[in-house]
Amino acid sequence: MADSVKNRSTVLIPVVAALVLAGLWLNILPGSGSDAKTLIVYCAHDRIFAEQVLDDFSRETGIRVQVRYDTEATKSLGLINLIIQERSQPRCDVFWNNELLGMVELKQQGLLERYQGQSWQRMPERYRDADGYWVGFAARMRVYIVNTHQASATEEALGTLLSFEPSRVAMAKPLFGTTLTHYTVLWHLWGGDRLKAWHRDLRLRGIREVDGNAAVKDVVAQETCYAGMTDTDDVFVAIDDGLPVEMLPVRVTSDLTERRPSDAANAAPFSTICIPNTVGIIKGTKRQEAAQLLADYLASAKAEIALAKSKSRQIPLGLIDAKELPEDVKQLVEWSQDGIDLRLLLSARRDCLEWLKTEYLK
Amino acid sequence: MSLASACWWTLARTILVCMVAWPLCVAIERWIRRVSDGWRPFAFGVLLAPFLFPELLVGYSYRSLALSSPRLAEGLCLGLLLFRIVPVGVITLNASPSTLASFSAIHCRWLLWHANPRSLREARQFFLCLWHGPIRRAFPALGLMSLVAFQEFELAALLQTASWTDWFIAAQRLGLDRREMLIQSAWPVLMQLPLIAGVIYWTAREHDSSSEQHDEPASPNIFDWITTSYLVLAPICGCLIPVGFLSMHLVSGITLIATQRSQLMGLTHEMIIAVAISVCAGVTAWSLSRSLTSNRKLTPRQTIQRTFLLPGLAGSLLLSLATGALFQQSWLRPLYDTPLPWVVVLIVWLLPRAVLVQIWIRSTSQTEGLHLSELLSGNAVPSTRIGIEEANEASVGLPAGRATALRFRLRDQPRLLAIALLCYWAYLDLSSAYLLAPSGMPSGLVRLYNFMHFGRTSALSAEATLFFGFPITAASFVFLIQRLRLRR
Repeated sequence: MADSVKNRSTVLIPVVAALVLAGLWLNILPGSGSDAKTLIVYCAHDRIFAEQVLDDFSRETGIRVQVRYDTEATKSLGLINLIIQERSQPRCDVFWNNELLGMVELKQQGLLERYQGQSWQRMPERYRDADGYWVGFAARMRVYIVNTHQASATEEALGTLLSFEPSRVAMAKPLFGTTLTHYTVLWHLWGGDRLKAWHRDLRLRGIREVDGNAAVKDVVAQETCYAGMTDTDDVFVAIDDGLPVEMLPVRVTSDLTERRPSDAANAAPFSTICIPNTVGIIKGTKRQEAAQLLADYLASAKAEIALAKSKSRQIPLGLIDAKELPEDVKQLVEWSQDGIDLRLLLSARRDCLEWLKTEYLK
Repeated sequence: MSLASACWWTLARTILVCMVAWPLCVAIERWIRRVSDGWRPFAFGVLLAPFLFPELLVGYSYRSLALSSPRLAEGLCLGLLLFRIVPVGVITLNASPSTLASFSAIHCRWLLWHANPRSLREARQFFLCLWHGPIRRAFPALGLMSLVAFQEFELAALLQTASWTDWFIAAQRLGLDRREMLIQSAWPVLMQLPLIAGVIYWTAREHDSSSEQHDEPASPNIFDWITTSYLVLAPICGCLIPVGFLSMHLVSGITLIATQRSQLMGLTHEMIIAVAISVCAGVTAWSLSRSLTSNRKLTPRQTIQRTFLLPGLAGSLLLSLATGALFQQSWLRPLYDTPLPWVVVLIVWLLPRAVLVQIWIRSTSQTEGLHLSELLSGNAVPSTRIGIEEANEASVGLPAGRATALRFRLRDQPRLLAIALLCYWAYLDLSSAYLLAPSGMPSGLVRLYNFMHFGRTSALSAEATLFFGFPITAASFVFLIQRLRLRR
């Protein structure tokens, strides 16, 4: 008898656990029961900064948001590929990307819904899709982070470091995120052969490759490396922690590898790399209205100011009251005026990514 | 780095760490058998602590140090891996059947062969003796240790050392073609296959020996020194340093998240999901493993059933990738965005562990004591006259409640602990949570993994304490209540 009770319990307990789980899932499932106003958002922006904005949206509109984030190391590309994989049965309603070219790729693949809402109207031409498939907002820039105990934050010092001591310079693996955008820009400006030669030369001479921009900040802040290529938001994390770092914008040109404005007075103009967040509605969403509301909210002046005031100090792209901007963001706004137009670089991105796959995975 | 290079690199690391770990395992296992019964649970606790301590926290604690130099990162990875695999080796050795050939027999065979070195028969007999002796006993421990080391994911990712697991995550995120992924997965699968087959073969053997039957030469003093040094060093490096690291930022972290209600609610929600999933997977895996190990004599049906252990031994990363692809591509697609793939992977992954735990419990349980306690509590009906006499003799002067408490301690407590352990492993598995969690049901573990890349230590400390502390506190509470109930 004891055995039969035991056998029954070994079947019963998993069944009960499975039922509890199913109940939990059905309760969470978007559109189930009374909870029809729930959006599924894939978000490539740093969770610590995005969470607050999405919470504010939920509070204001009553629309619940379920967010899927990705890790620092693989974000944006991981979510883009997930959206592509799920194309026949999309579960994402809105994609908040932390860069622009992935969104152009999704548009090309016919995975985005067209929407020219209020937010689309307020953005400058270069930061929105002409047909309204996506809209940019709140940008950050590619910058050099320099440890001021080890090197001076000048373009000359950086040039010397890169030329003679690249093992003291760090960068993230360019397969993902904004480092991939950085490489795409270089591919576009220099052509594939020159970029490949530059990249191989740096690797050969020992440039420190780490798994993400946050790790670049870490190795520079702890003085393992003297400088690195990262994003503005990562540098601000270090500055807020009181670490001895400064930043300089990465400036690129088709003529010269590194910024030497004095040397290149007659050469092609230098550009900075200003990478906006972008938002797009996924084709096939069943919650169109709520998705449009979120797209409008994210690219609104209110959200842009909130992101500018957050620890990540994102650069507003639409028209806003300059008085509301923190001082350090005003400097970034100035640098971003020279930003290269990223919308036309899709083919460069594809070619560059194919090459990087062979470089890192084959 | 190509996948082939990453696989070879991981294999080299695995071989190296297992070679270092093996003498430690032997020394510690001998020492543990000499420890008195009263102290044995404590000894096992100290031994197992580095293995059970959340790997993510260990990796995160040493991440800053590892970033300073790739060589240092590799060294750290080796050291921390050592602390994780030694407990696996010791427990497996402890649960392994005693050798069929004693050391005296091997020595005699050696002398015979030595006296007649040209005799092929003597050589064969000597090697047969070795096979049935130490080799057959060592293989399962070495096999499992190698599997754990080879499948390492979180530590390698956080310390940024080369590993095939990292390659697969990158390839998956880059959207590598599924067919290509499946072809590439042949590399790690083939490398693990001999080990997996060996472990399956071992679990198929009868486990009717108790640890008292082992016959080994006396340990020299140096073994005691090695054991003591290891048992001091491993918990310090594998548990106390990460705990200390977290504690440094704990107060500010708790203050921070206490002010962020939405963050706290989000974490609670994710913890509930992780608990529900892991309980479901852990209990199911335990139930299935009982049917796999129910008979001591191996039937053909059971042999076939034990092949179900194969996929689980391949590791949760490969399993999750394959299951994700299966649920996206096949007629199972409608179930893709449900918790089912996640739970299925966890069950399959836990199954070999559950079988191992079953075998270990069986090999260490006090069957005579259990039998007597069942007689005392009146649950077992004695079938023989001797049984009735035993029961009458034993029950004199003992209240029924104490007999039930004794039976709980001997029979139910190890089972409950085993189920709790399986649930805890499921709770801590990052690969499946990362790759298969459906929309709206993320695990808190992925949130922590995310934070670990940002270096946001104060909030991370608080959230990690809550996330990892919750199941341990809950399990301790349940055991405490159970004990109090039985004392009444």
